[in-house]
Amino acid sequence: MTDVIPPALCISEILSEVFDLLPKRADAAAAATVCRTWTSVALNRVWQDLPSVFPLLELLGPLTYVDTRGWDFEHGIPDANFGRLAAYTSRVRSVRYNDQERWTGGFRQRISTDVSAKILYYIASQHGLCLLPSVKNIEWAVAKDEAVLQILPFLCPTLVSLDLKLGCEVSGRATLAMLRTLSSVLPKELEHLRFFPSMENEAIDMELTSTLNQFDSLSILQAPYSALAADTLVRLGPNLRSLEVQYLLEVTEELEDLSVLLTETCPVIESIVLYVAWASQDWDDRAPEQVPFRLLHPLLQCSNLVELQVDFVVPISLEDSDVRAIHQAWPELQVLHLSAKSFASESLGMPLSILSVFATYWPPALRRLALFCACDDVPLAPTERKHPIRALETLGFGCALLDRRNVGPIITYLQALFRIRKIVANPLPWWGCESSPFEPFGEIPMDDPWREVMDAVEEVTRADRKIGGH
Amino acid sequence: MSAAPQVTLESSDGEKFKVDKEVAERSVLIKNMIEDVGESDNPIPLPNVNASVLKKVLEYCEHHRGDPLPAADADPSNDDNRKRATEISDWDQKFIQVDQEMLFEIILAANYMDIKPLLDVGCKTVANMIKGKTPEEIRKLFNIVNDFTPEEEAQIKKENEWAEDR
Repeated sequence: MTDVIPPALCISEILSEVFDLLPKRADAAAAATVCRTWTSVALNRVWQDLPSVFPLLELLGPLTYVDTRGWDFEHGIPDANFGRLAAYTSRVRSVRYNDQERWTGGFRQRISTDVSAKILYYIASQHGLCLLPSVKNIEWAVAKDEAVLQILPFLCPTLVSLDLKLGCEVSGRATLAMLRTLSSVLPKELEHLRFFPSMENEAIDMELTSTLNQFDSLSILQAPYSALAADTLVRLGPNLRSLEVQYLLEVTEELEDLSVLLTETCPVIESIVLYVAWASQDWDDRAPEQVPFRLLHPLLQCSNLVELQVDFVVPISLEDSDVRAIHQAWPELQVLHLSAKSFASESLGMPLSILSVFATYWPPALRRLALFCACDDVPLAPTERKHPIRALETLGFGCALLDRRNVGPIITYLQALFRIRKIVANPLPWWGCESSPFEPFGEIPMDDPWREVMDAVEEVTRADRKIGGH
Repeated sequence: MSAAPQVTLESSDGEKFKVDKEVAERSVLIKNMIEDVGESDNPIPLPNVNASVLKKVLEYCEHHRGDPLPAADADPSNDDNRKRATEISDWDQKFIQVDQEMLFEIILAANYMDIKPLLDVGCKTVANMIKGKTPEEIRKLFNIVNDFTPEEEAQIKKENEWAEDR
């Protein structure tokens, strides 16, 4: 061996490029012990995106559990080297924390799942409050009150994105305390906030509104609409590129008012995701069977729209003229989801023939489409084609029901119009923001008629791609 | 029809290469130099690149002359961008099948001349050579001496053990 490393492999920028392209974190960890020149750059790659806070705990050595006192923070980290800890924490740009996490590292046998933040909170309070001085993104999922405020030492002026998930056991009191803390410590420059509280509560809404009013440059916001007072939306709207809200509706016409407000306040909006439900518990008695897409027509003025997802209790109906309007208004549209989140009868929803209209008036960038279609009447496949076969990454049908006798006709119909990589139908109705028609929770049961449709249509697409060499 | 404008590049060992301006401007360094000093008949000196490497770099630029230029503000940490970067086209793969010395020279030249897509191809090739290998295998592959003490090496290994199965 020579004692000269190839010059290209001594330059930090080049090494950083190489290590960023390594497919696995383990490869970067191996590179870190090749030679001193590589160590620092490789460790940046290993630690930049932490899947958990446990690797930080692993640096501290074993903790002692004292039966009478619980975890012994005073004497329980005898071998910990806080200089080493600081050397690693400064590399972290993103971190995920989940107080229910089962970590498979060395702490598995020695530590219960919910104390990791508590330990780090203690360390931060002893050794400087900003535990991760360069962190940009935090995902924080907690199920217990005591873990809620332990986010504090992780927050830092460098933060750009915060995603908070509170489990349903977290109390309103803890949620309010957390929001008050966030108001005082989050940087005004935060760009992305995601927070859906686990309960409806006026005091929480007011506190969240007050928190939102602190930010100057939020561009991605995911929150309950009830916390978005009109003046808050007017203030944040000019910067918003992506908005995801839960909206409780009194009457269907409110949907049109909401569309008008979004159009007027969010001129550069690119992505809108609406989870809509009835505000009243007795909606069953007076709810219409479907709501018309025309209520969303004001949004057609948002010419930058790339994504529109409306997740409603009942199906949204779409006319041929609506599809033509979409084609004209949203040239950049990539994702469209107009679905229903509960089971409805086979005859409810848009007619399947709406897919032919989409194939004709095709938004050129469209790659994911989910529509709640009535699948009881399958149109004949077109014999003459006036347009090329359209390629879709995903076609979703929500919770639409399919009768087994319609399986053959629907396969023929879909294959005449599209090549689809993935067909999605949801085995369960869904609610909330943790699932989507494109990535449903459960697998479709093997004996479900949709399974046969998926297998047949996706197989043809795979075969085509093979022939095409893509 | 008038001929495409051309520029002359001069390698570190004095060899001159006359190429279309459009081809030379795949290099951000050269593009900026032309913009700064204006077009002239004087050769543009590239004191860090020898003739054999420059010939190879120009072969790449010629093949990719019509490609869209990468956005200056593209975020390399973005997953999509990274994924795109990990895919090497067939032509690029054949182009970069060179000995190790030339590979590193091309990477250095791409870095110096600021040709991002060529740098990506070179770095991806090195990343492919590294992936799945132990530190010892990597040292052997690139003739790198282990300059850690056993204690230092053991400490780094221990602190990063968690990453080994991820």
